[in-house]
Amino acid sequence: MAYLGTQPNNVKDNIGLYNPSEILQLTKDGNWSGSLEFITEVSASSSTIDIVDKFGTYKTHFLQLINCVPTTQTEFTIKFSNDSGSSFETTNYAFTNYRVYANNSSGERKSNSQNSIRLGGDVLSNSEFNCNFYIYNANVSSMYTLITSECTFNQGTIYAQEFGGGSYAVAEVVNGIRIGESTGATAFTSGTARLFGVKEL
Amino acid sequence: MSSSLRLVNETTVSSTVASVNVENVFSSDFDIYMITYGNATSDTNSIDVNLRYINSSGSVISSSDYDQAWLRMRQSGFNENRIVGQSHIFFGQLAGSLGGTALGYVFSPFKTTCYTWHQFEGAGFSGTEDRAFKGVSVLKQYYSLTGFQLYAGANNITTATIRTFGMRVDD
Repeated sequence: MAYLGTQPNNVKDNIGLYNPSEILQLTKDGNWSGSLEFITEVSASSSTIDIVDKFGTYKTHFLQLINCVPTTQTEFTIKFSNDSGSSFETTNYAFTNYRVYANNSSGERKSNSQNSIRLGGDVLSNSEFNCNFYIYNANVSSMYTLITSECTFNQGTIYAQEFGGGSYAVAEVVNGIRIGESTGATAFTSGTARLFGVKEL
Repeated sequence: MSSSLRLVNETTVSSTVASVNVENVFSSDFDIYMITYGNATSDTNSIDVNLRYINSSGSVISSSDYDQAWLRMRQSGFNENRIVGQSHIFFGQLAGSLGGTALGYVFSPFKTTCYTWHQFEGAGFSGTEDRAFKGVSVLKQYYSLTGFQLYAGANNITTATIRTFGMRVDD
């Protein structure tokens, strides 16, 4: 391919030139443009964040939660929908997380009977919660929907992180997600969610 | 050409195999790579997915030069795994037709001046028990690596989509 530039630095620096036919071929090969594709951004204002019918055909999704503030000291959680947000499922969830505080305490956080998947907590109402998590196989009807997560926040003046994974143990297509606070995934004060799809050919 | 994550390779497994090689994906183009496998199933429940690197000669590195520390988070209990001198890297589990998944970062695989480091996270099932994983590992060799192998030990992978991405670096 007649890439005009010096390898490999021009690749790293994202400079150089391609002609239109090369762009078309690169697009077909999946190598044109970035591979973490932005889908949508939604903010909460005394509400949950519901994202429905946005998963497209991606098998893997990446979701960022930015500066989420709860109404009271609690955890942040998610639920999935299989009917485009008409309802959000309340059973068949499990999670196993590990939480570490900066004051040397740490511990397991796990459940297979909660009606949501825990991301992390407890977060105070005067603090912010930030989290990245991946969602796997939401669009695969024969598989469970899985997540892996990494969260960072302050509980008052104490820094904490929580990481782990969770599952929605029903083999079906999931087409919506609710982000909320407490085990019920209810409305929280404020925050933003950004959803990305991980490119596939 | 926006975004810092570039798809380098997508390899699909559509028949029963004990291992799959993903070759010629690491190069001087990138220093950091992201590997993920999804849509993955196995012939039996609860199999380990292991990773070994492939060097520039095309040989799978199976010597006992991998160290790894990872946390297994299960409903039945959490446990630390700290292993020195193993012949592979643990990289998640598959639960038969219900699958499983993992995502990892590989640091400096192509360079011959430093070890190759890896960190990963994953989620899946063993039987009806859910579990999550998070850990770090290193290959204590100065090889120039160009690829990797996923293998299932004595078991088999029946389907999988394995994607490798490069992380763009702007000087």
